[in-house]
Amino acid sequence: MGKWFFWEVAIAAVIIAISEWKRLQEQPGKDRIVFLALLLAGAVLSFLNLPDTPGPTSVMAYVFKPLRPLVEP
Amino acid sequence: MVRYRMRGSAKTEPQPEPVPLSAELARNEQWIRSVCSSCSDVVYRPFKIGGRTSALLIFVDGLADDRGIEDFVIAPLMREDALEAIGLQEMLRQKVEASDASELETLDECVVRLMDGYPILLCEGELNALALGLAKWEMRAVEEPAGESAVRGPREGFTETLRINTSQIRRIIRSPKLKMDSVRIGGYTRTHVVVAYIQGVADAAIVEEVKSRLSRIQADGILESVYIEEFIEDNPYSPFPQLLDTERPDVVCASLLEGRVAILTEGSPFALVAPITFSSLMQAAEDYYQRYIFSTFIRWLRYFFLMISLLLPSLYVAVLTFHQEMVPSSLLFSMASSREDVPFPALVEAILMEVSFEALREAGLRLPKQIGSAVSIVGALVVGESAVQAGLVSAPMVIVVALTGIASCMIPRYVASNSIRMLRFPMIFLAGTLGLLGIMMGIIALVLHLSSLRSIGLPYMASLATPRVGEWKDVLIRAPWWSMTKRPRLTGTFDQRRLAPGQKPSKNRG
Amino acid sequence: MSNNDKMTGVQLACVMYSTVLGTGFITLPTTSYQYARNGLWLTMFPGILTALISMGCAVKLSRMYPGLSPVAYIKRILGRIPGFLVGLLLFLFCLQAAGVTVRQYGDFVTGSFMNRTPLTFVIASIALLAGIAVRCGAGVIARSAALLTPIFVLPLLLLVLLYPHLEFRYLFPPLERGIVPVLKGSLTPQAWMSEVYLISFFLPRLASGVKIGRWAVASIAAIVASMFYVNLFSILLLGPDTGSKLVTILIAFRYINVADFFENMEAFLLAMWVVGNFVKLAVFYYAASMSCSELFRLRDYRLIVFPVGILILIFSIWDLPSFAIVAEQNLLVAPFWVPTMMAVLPGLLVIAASIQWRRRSLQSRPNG
Repeated sequence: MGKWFFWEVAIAAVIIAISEWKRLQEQPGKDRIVFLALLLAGAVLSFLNLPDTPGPTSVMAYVFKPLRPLVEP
Repeated sequence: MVRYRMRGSAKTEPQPEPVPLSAELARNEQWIRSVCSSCSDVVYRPFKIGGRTSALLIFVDGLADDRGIEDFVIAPLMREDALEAIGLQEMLRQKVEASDASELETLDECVVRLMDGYPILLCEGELNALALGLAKWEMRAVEEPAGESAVRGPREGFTETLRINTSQIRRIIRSPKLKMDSVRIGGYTRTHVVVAYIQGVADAAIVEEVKSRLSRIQADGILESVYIEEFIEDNPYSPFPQLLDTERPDVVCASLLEGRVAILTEGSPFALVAPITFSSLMQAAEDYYQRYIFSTFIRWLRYFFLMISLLLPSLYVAVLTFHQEMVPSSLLFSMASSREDVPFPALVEAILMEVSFEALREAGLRLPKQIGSAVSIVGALVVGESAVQAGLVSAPMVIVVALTGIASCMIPRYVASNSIRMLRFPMIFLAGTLGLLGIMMGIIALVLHLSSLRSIGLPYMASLATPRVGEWKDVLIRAPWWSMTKRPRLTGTFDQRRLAPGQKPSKNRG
Repeated sequence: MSNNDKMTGVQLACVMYSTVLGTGFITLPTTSYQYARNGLWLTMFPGILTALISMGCAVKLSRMYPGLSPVAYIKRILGRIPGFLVGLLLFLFCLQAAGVTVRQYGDFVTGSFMNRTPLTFVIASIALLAGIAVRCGAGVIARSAALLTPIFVLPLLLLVLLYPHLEFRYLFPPLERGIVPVLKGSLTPQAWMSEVYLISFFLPRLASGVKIGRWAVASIAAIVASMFYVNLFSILLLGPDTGSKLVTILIAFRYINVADFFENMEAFLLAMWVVGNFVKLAVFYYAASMSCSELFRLRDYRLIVFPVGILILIFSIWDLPSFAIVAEQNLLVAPFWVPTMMAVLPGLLVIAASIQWRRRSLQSRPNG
């Protein structure tokens, strides 16, 4: 995955931005900011080595650790 | 240049002031002659009413009834001598023996009516002209519709003449509730377009929507109902027809009775029906004229072959390329042995065969009938057979393509079968690159497109994707007439009840 | 003409059915078997309770706040800042659930059918389709769900062809280790069934006069019946082997062999799997987009659909290095995490909202 994924996401983000450009012009400022922020978040996250970066799975595993004995066979 | 001309004819442009008729006959004649200069088919026939007042009859040769003009207009007027006693107006009213005579006040109107085929009568000293209802032209006789033949059921089809078409509808629905609003579209052709609907049965909002879409059209000419279709449909990028075209008055009337709106166009034997759903395209007129059990069977067969027509080649390619294990082993051996000599991958083979099938079909369609059959014999039999023998294509592929071709003819609407036939190609590509996954992707994309499509506001998939048991009576099955007590639900409010309930015949009812 | 965009009861039921079972058919039998053993066929039934709670809360909240989607009424109930935080949590939940859904789909397709197709491509292609569906709106999702549900359900009937291979002795002795393993085994199914709460994103678009309760119960019944059917066939066919298979239903489809001609039916399973996952993904995707748009009070949610799609792609691989981790997540975390968001949170919201309503009516009584 690695670098390739970043480029895939980046290209997708650019395509999305271009295709939505017209619609973007009609929207109020807040909508535009949210739109760009989401795209940027995607691009930044995709730069990491995602599968091995601690993230939501680790967080939830930590949060629900006390309940684990219930389900361990 | 074209755009400029179209703009010039548009309604929004400021129109020049209409020229009123003058009392001097010579000036009127000169004005009309200058407008209709180089129109060799316009005939000017001067004569004298009662031997004194000069008058002029103008008509377009071939559009007016020559004999009628002589017998019912010119002859009685020339004989007349009581002009002073009752005045010209009254005399004209009494003596002109035409079914329809309307008075015109401007020269522009005169020219417009003249071009519609009405003879125009101008008199010296009169500020009004008379348009006489003596239009008559050569027209095709009412024939059996070639594109939608039926074994049982009426044999009448529409013709190119609008009035004959409306009369055919009126002869079936003899109610003043059947409304026929007329509009003119096209800067130069000024084509008569009639919007027919049954008041109280059709949703008024749909009628208004159709009318407003028609009124938005600004074109220089409307030559066929397809022109209108492309202007008023909801999604211009869709491969699917969003209006139904039919040559049969009975189909139009059945649609009107279901609360739909019909659009008839002068010069086209095809009426448009809107709004429609996808299932309308799968209903043939004859379904309703046969026994309902058989019609239901045919409908199921149609849906099945619709799927075959769309998916069979792509499934074959997907199986051969990616999923050989799916084929039962005994079948796999015969398939593999037949493909042994074929140099192409399955994808190329399928595309090759499908394209040549389409070419054959088109060639057979456009050529005169006699040559057409020769093309299909040479193309299908000779080329197909020798291609298999030469090992260029495999025999199973020929079978698949032939079956698909037959399947696409099962769809009763020619236009709909075209769109399915076309969608086959992207499907084959998807199957050749992604196998079954690609086919499923294609199906999902198709379903998405169909469920976002609308026909004049009505969701295209309305009766299939919005399942209501009552509506399936005319979608998946063809229920017997006595059980179809309600009209299909289209949009908005409408008169639901179609026939009185409890009419199922039984021997106890006597 | 806009009233055509309203959903009908059948569409609602179809959407819910695929939302729960889109991934359910693949994941649930194997996961549940690990605890319940030959009590597998019972594991769906405790889930009815969770499903009814989720569904009841969704319906109740949509009646209290007609026309509002969840994040909007969360803000209304909890106030601005706590509402924003809870809404954000719901948004992240939807993103993550959509990511896991699409990941399971991708793993299954690349693992069992298209071994050489890259995972990212498989995931991105279905996400693109779902994105288009979400952009077209709730009406289109509902209509396409109704059209696709037959493709999703009918292949299940093929399992009947397995009858020569079924061994009824695998069912015995019933409940040999008591009821507790069955209850443990039902934790994952009930988590899946709590996802019916997502219907509350669609309830504002429901046509008036639809009897929600009836359709909700019907769809829950259909979900339980189908899952019971699949579980029963898994256990009757494979018996003690059920737990060792990655995807039980795939093995079951491979077993089908009628007259040595109809065999290797797993292609139907692929069709079913793609279709079911598409609907499930579209529902989660729609929920995520709507939540995000309500969170920031955007004018038009359609603008952010594709950016949200990219985030879903990221969540589908983030911190999930392998299929095994996804399975572990389903086994150890999802049974608590999903019902927390889909049943407990709505329950608390209902309580908070009814306290608010009561207080408001008490306040207004002396005045009026």
